[in-house]
Amino acid sequence: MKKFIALVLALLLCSVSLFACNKKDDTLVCGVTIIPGLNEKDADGNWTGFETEFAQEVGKILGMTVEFQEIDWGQKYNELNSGAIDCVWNGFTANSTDKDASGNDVKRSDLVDFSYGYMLNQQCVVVKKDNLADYTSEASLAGKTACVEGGSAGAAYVSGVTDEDNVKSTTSQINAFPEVKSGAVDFIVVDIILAQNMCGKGDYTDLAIVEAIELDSEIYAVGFKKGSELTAKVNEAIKELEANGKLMELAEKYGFENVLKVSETIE
Amino acid sequence: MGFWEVTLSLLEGLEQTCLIFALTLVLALPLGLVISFASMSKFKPLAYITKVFVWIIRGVPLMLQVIIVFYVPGFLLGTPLFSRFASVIAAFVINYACYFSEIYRGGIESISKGQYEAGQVLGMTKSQIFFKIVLKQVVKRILPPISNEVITLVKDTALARVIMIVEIIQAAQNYAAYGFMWPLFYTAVFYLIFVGILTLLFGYFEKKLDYFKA
Repeated sequence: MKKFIALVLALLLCSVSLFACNKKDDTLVCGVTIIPGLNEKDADGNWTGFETEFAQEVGKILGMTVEFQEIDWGQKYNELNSGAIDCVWNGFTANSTDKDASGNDVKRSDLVDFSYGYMLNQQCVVVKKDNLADYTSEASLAGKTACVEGGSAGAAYVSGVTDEDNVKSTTSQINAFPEVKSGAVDFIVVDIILAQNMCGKGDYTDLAIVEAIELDSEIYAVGFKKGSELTAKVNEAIKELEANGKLMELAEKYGFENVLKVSETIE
Repeated sequence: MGFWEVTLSLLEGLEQTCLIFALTLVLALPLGLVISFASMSKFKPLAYITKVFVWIIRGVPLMLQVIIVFYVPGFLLGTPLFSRFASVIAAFVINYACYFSEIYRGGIESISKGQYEAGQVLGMTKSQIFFKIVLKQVVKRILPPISNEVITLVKDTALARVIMIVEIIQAAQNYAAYGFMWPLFYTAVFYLIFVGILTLLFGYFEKKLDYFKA
């Protein structure tokens, strides 16, 4: 019996030491979710997309190897604060808010350190193509049911235009699309860069962006753990890539040349 | 987005699912036996501590345990102690070992005292009695509840995606970013086949153990 117990414990110890984690200082681990055009995998499983190549160029300047780790967007602050990833580099809207534990709005810039902004984004309203005619202005959203990503810029917007009881939250923007397609809600509010890539494709040929309703613009930036020394280094590298035209080259490659904008302030 | 392409990438996800499933079983089945011994120990403090431990592990959602094991060491030390995969295995093994321990305890306590006495009369040692007489009958009795847990484990592997282990559900979810929902529904086929094979396997084991007319 004692031999048996000793064997089991030895087995457990071995497996723990086998899996021990060692992270290197010269790697930059970027937390990403798959967003077509920004971060996605090609047929061979290699990462591509604007954000991917942007991060890799910055990595070259800093002399760091860039790794991409898929994350659950809802866990992004846990991932950063636990050191599991070094940064969130994935269409991270800097001038937005999140809810804290007691439901109050907290500025994202109070939760993480942001790099310089580099790309303009907008929220947009997506509905079924057949219903497009019903949506002519912001007033037509009143009383309709909506779905947004919890804690997103879209969530802040819908609370102002329709009743709170009508709003449903999902864990990611991607998950909002089946809600509107299946008729569970009337409209969703998501990033325009994402919506342009989704509407009219695959299973979503019957969805469309409501052009008549235009929302405030936002800016994307890279998010780091508070106090990280990487922020300043990455900022310098972004400036360098802007100056030598490399950043514009990448934006043109992926069709983002009209929204590319490096700005030192993110408010 | 062809059918084969999706099937192949789901099979890659299934590999992770199988790995979590197999490692959890291999480690949790024996660990569960150790925990069940501790909870039946004659040394009372050990028995009480074990029971409280089992209460905590069975009382907290497995998903939360996965999150705690992976993120909390990082919050304390600034960098994660274990890799994502190791965290998932650790959380799953401890959780399932606790469930198994209670099944073992029920099985062991169902064996009548007379069996132990018969063993002693024959001059067998305590561990001989346990491994050669008791355990074999226990295995037969606990097979149906164990098969329940094993089948639940197949589907619980999907919880690993909370810290982004790309198992089969996450592999399918990645297609949602391109506007495709059907790969997610398609995963049901893989789970059904997996559980179907297990069901047949357990049916076969039960037949094999038929010779114990206990």
